[in-house]
Amino acid sequence: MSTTTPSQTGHDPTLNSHQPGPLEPENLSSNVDLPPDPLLDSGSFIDANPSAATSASFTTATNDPTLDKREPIIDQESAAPANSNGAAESVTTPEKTPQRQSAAAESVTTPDKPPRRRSTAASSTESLNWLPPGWKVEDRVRTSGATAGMVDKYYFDPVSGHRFRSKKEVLYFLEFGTKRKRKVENSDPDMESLESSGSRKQKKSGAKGNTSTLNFDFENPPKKIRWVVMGRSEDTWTPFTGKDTEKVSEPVRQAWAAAFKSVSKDRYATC
Amino acid sequence: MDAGNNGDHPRLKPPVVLDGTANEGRAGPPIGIVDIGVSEDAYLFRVALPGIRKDPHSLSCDIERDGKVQIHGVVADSGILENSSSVYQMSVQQLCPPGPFTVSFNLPGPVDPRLFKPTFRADGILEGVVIKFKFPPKDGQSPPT
Repeated sequence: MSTTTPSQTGHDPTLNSHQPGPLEPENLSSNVDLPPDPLLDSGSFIDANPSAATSASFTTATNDPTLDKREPIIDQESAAPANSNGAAESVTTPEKTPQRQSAAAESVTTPDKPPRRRSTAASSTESLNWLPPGWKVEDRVRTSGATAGMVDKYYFDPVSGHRFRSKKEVLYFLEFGTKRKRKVENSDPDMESLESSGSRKQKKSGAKGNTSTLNFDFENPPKKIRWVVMGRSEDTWTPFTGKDTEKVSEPVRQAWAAAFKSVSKDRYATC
Repeated sequence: MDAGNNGDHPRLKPPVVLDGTANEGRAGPPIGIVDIGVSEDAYLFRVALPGIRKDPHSLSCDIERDGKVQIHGVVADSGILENSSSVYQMSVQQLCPPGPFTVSFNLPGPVDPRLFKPTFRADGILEGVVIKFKFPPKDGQSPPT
């Protein structure tokens, strides 16, 4: 990001006199070997200070909110290459505006490609460099149900005590200071978490097909499931495994319902 | 199916085993008449369960991976009305006598017992859709569609 500040151009009349006019901004920041940006006017800088002020309550782990607002709709996979790419060309310019200082310290700034998700710049899915210090990570193994044995990563904020189930959730929290609310694109929070955890699972288990985002093991159905009517008024059936003894937990049941829905292509599903 | 209940299309009849009180009804609408349908992805079955109340835990449906379906239920005491304290002595009883029953049959192929959507309709028909089990393919590219 070419970050020549207007204040500096104004500051230094002597420099101005030394340099040819049109090149002046580039030369001012010439200790940075950035190519001139055709899209940026000289003397301008990419910083959305007005909107930064609106959400200025967060300080350290935040970035330009206008840029990062796109994060929820960016797929993890698609965003990652851009970030690592940006990291490689990352340049930190000394002439940052004060507001940009914190971001500049760790930020990825290329002149033509503003970083979309700064805080993930230096991280892979495995390393936890992106996690702020003090946060706890826990690997929990599912102990029951059809997905027993799968490992879920949980992140704990030491300050608020909130628990997060994905990196996405953590990043959102760091940015906006609140837990994530679902956007209109997908109105069902359960479905969302199912999907995100499902896709994460698939990545870890080594590139299975990307055909389904469901967290559902299609290949290994149990031998027998007993479905029992539970409600008198509404048609509620509850699955049990193992000879009527073990009730299938609600999240698992919902995963099954989702899987059913996906497989039957909504032809029968009304659930 | 019980010989006394035989309908008009014997060659289409799946082998259905009736047990308990479902095996005793003779004149009334019989419990345990089964329809089975097939689609690309799933099997559909309909079981006539007239007079079965939808009390909690009163009806269950076991789905097995090899396609076996077993329906357990209880026919409520016909002398007692729901939501009433009066008891009636039955002078004519042609519906299924009270008691537990079982209806067992096999779907045409293997299924995934988790992918089951039952609907116990108000008209006394239990309707169930079970997704076929189609694995392997091993590569995981296409879940059963």
